[in-house]
Amino acid sequence: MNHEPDILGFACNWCGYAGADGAGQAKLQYPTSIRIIRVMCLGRVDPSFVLSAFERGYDGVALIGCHIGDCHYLSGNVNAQTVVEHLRGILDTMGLGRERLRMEEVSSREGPRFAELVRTFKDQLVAMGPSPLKKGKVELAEEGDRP
Amino acid sequence: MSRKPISASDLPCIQCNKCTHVCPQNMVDPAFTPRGYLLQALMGEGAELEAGPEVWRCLTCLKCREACPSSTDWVGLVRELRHNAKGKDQCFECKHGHLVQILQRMMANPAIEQKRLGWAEGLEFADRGEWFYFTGCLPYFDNMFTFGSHTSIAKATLKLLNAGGVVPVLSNQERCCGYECLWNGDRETFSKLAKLNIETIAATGAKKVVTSCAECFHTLKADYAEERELPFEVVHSVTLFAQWAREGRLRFRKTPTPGVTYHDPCRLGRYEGIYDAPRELLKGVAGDSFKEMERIRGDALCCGVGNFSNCDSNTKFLQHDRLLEARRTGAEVMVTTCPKCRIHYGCYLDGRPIEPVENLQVRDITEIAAEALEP
Ligand code: SF4
Ligand code: SF4
Repeated sequence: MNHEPDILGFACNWCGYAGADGAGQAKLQYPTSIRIIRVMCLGRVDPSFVLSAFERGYDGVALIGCHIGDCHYLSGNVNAQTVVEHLRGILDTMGLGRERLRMEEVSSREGPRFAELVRTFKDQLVAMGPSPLKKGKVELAEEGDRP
Repeated sequence: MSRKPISASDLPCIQCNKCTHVCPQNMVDPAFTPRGYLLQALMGEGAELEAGPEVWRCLTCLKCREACPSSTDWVGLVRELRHNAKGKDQCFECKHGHLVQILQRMMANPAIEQKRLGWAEGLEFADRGEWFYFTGCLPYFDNMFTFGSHTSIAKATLKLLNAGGVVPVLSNQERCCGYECLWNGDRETFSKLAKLNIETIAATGAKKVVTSCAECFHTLKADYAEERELPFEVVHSVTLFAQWAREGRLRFRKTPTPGVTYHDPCRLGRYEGIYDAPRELLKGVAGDSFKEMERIRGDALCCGVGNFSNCDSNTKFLQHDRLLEARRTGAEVMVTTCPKCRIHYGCYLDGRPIEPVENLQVRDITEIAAEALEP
């Protein structure tokens, strides 16, 4: 079945988000499936943020941050790696599949890499089919919405 | 069976203040007083209570009712108030970002097809049969509280069931029991989970459900039964194994173990009144090296966290106090029958304890028993 996947991206201010910005400025084409939330560091991404996204029906979640070793707060992305590994275990147990959660390293100058990652992630999610928790296109949360 | 909401005017509180004296929250923070909150409720100020943080800070450990001369159901009122507060979106600050409840809400969706039996690979279980082993959240905890294995409890329970000649049903369709949602005011999700679990169990033809978790046990036995009549009986593994040991169906070699002591979890003890079975089983396994703490049975101290939400500095104080108490018996292992008690104490020991508690492990009774099983 062909479907339009919804992807939520958490991008760090210094690398991931700047990389996405770079892709935009270079007018690179990439799918509109992704919505980006800017965080100061991937270390800010609480496990509950990711699961909350899946609960709301997102098909995939990507954490996009600095290359390992380049974190502006030294170890935020390393901590995020651990969190992602455990969350993937949870997604497997839940039957959603670990592949729905990705962690990517994109530096501020790697716009093409960002565009490429959105493309491949989208293709992969199309192949996997919609998340069982999906109830249609994911609506944006209203202000004051609580988990 | 339908549930009648508790209203403050039904509560027979005589304002004697006994509850406040035994309350573990009050022990650390003298400003926390269940008697005072009950007075507020009786004076018709329930709405203010509902909006305040107090109802979320109660550990629902039930020590207050144990002491109360008129059996006032304060904890029942707390649950009611939380439910009302949730309805008005007066939520609390969860220390885990509501992680457990998010998972439970995901599982309440019938479209979810879990793969939760990875831990049981190579072990003996069935798809249909008289016995159902309700594993609860254990497969999830392995990836949430990473200071130890939690499915080791499930493996030990399965091993003991097998040793007693039972090949229980395990199901991928089983969901978390919904305890956290229920006690955090989300009755809607709880009811959905209860419905799905009852259907799953009934479909396997099981007549007896075994749990290895004090909270699953109480939730299934008492709260599911409030939702609808159960087509099965619920038993905590410790009751079953103690009985089997008595009948000679399980045999343990009494190995010289380091001293062990037993911590009564609130849901098995004060809520369900099961105090003797775990002690009987422990004595059967550890013999004379079993020692009692000072505060036991109905008087046991709470592990300091209710429904994964109200963990704070008071919690750490209570945990420290309890672990020192265990250590004073000379025991090196504090045994419990609730995986969540173990998580909370484990979290304390793994994190930054007030001061180090040397040579003390917190373990589940099934692990101790499975290790001592005679081949
Ligand atoms: S709840 Fe019970 S123990 Fe507490 S003040 Fe009222 S009567 Fe006394
Ligand atoms: S349930 Fe426990 S924490 Fe809550 S008021 Fe009673 S004694 Fe205190």
